[in-house]
Amino acid sequence: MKIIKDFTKGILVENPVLVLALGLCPTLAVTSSAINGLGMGCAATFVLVMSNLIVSLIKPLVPSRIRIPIFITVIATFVTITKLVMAAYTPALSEALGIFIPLIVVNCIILGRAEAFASKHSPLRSLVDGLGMGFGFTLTLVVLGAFRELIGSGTIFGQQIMGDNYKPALLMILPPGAFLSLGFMVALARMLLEKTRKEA
Amino acid sequence: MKSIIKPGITLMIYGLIAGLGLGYINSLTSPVIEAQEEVARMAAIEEVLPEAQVFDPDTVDSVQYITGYADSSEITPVGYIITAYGNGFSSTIKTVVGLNPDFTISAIEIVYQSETPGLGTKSVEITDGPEPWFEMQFDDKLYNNLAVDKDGGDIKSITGATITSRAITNSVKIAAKELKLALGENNDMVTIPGGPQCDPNNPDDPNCHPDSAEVEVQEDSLTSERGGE
Repeated sequence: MKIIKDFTKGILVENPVLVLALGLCPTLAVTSSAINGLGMGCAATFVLVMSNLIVSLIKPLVPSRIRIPIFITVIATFVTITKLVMAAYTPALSEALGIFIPLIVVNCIILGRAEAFASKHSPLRSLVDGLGMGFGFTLTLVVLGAFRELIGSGTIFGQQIMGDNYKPALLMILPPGAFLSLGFMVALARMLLEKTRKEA
Repeated sequence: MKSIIKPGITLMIYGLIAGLGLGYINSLTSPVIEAQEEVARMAAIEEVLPEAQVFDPDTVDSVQYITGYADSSEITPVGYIITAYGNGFSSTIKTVVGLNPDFTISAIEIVYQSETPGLGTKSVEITDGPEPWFEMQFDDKLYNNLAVDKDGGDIKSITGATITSRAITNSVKIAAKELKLALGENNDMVTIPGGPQCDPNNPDDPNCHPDSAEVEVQEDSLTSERGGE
């Protein structure tokens, strides 16, 4: 039961972006299209799951005074692996995400989960926590990216959705569009949370 | 003292393990990454000079270029390929330029840019046809006539991305001009298909420097354009 909750809490109750407000920089920057959101979400999820697992496994070997540099080393290692693998096998996506892949190192979600969860719980629960948080992050980024892409370019995942007469609102794929859409998504998440709380 | 050494050694061990692991991953992926880049570069080169089958890289007066030949006999070049670099709005835009022997542009291909999504990135966006409309405008134009519409030229700039459009246009012009000058100084005979032949034994032959007067004027306007950016 606990394991299931470890996974599902990342989707809404402790959604890293919409509720914890962590990792906003890549969220706002890369979500100009759904595919970018998906790529960024998957890359961050891989790093999150692996770093949670490793941090949880090595926690008896980590002196508490230097735990932060050790966690960062673990995270940076997996980010570099992700970056190299993406550059080798998905060069187009790697170019689109650019600097934001190396910057996963400083994404607060990952260090936050290592510090707040993985260093205190078992490897299995940490792994599931990473998966849940990563899924919540990816879902948020894909929805945000799809919404911005739909309004800003008339497409979703590159597929034409709007009719030929649709004039794309360029603002939506520029930074202001990211802030506006994220604002609406946070409001929506709050509304859902209130509703589930009342029911419970 | 002990309180420093122990954590230091611990950190060193973690760093060592991470470093070794990454070294291994890098040795696996770096050949793939290099191959990808080479494929992208070769695709661009073939795209901009489709008639050429054999490519011969060379450097003249520190200008790097590739001569394209139709077959392995390497006698008559079908064109030249150069790389142009222009400072755009948020990146240095790298463009591979194919030139016909008469220095009209065969085609251009933007191989690297990191401009504003939705504005400057339209320079590589495909709307209709096989290649982006912005790049297609350069086909068959003579290098020294290149200018965006705001500068009085006939390259239609991208709406909201004049700086990007201008950077690409001017970088192509400058790169082609540099190659033309470099080749002109080193070749006794600059052949212009259909035009009069230059006589290398007659230094006053105007055909040897068909556009020398024009180039002087171009120099001034280019400097001022660069300063204005």
